[in-house]
Amino acid sequence: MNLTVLLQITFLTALWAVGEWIAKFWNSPVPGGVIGLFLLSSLLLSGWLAPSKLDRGSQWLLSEMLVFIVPSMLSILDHPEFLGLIGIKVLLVIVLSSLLTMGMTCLSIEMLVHLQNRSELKAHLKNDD
Amino acid sequence: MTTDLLQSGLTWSGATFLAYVVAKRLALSFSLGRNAPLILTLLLLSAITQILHVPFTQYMDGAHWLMLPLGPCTVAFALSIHRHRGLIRHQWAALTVGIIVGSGTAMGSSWGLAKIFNLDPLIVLSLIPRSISTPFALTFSADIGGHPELTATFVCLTGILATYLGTIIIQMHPSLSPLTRGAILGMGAHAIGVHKAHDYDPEDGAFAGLVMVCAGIANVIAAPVVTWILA
Repeated sequence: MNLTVLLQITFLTALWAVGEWIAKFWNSPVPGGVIGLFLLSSLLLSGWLAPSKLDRGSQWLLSEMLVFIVPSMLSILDHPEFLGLIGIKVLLVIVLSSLLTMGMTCLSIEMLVHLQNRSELKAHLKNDD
Repeated sequence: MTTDLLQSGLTWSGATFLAYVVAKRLALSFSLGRNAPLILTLLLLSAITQILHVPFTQYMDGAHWLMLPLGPCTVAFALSIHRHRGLIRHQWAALTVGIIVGSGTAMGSSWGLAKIFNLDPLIVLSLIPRSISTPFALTFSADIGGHPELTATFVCLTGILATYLGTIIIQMHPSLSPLTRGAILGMGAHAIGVHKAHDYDPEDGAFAGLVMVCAGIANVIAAPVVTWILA
């Protein structure tokens, strides 16, 4: 990590802080981080800020995100009950719900693609008439 | 008092970061799998805290500083959205349908199954956001009255398990479009799934990343509605 990366991260942090402040000030149900995300999106879209100016900082943050999560995962040490039946139940919920989630996502998008293809085909046939 | 705070902050945030660096090195030099750094870090830290008889609350008092960058991480997602804005324009329909159906199923089935298994109400609430990327999931969990720390663990388990399950689904159906493959992995297995999707194809990966980020945003914005439904 060098100075450029550090500066970019500082800028992202400042945007987050502004987002947090806006969220507090307007009592917004949208959390500060997401407001910061929208702020940055508008800066990028308006062309005031080139994405290349933040590429390395954001890449660093997102690729090392794991370490920022580790502290809360260690909370499992405080919950010995997960080593027993409760833990197995939780794993079952995660496995079954994941299968359902991915299955439904898969079905819905395949159906949509199918419908889109069919309407395209219809349009084609009409043009041929 | 202030020096104590500083000391414990430096000690436990530092120890966590160090454990992570060591774990990454180990995983790299023994060419272990993608999930090895996380598992090794957790093992190292639990060994240290157990040996020193440090209770979790004391550890967390110092280590929670290390979680602050999760806020800026959320902001950084704006860059991946911006990079793929063309894809959003072309595939907005698939994106919208995938996120609504996927998030609805993820939250609904987590809640329903957890209820069926008669789990503690706090665990039930903490399971609901398990399918979205961690920075979003932690906020969501706190919003609906769950336990963000438990949610972090559930989110991570979801990433690991769902990537494995998603790979099986994809291998069983070789005719799936890149869009569907990306959506399955991005919606079901967030960051770890997005990594996997990149292995298949950059197109899969791009869509998976987009689904992950947009699902996170949509879910967090919908949190008040979820709280209202649960009440």
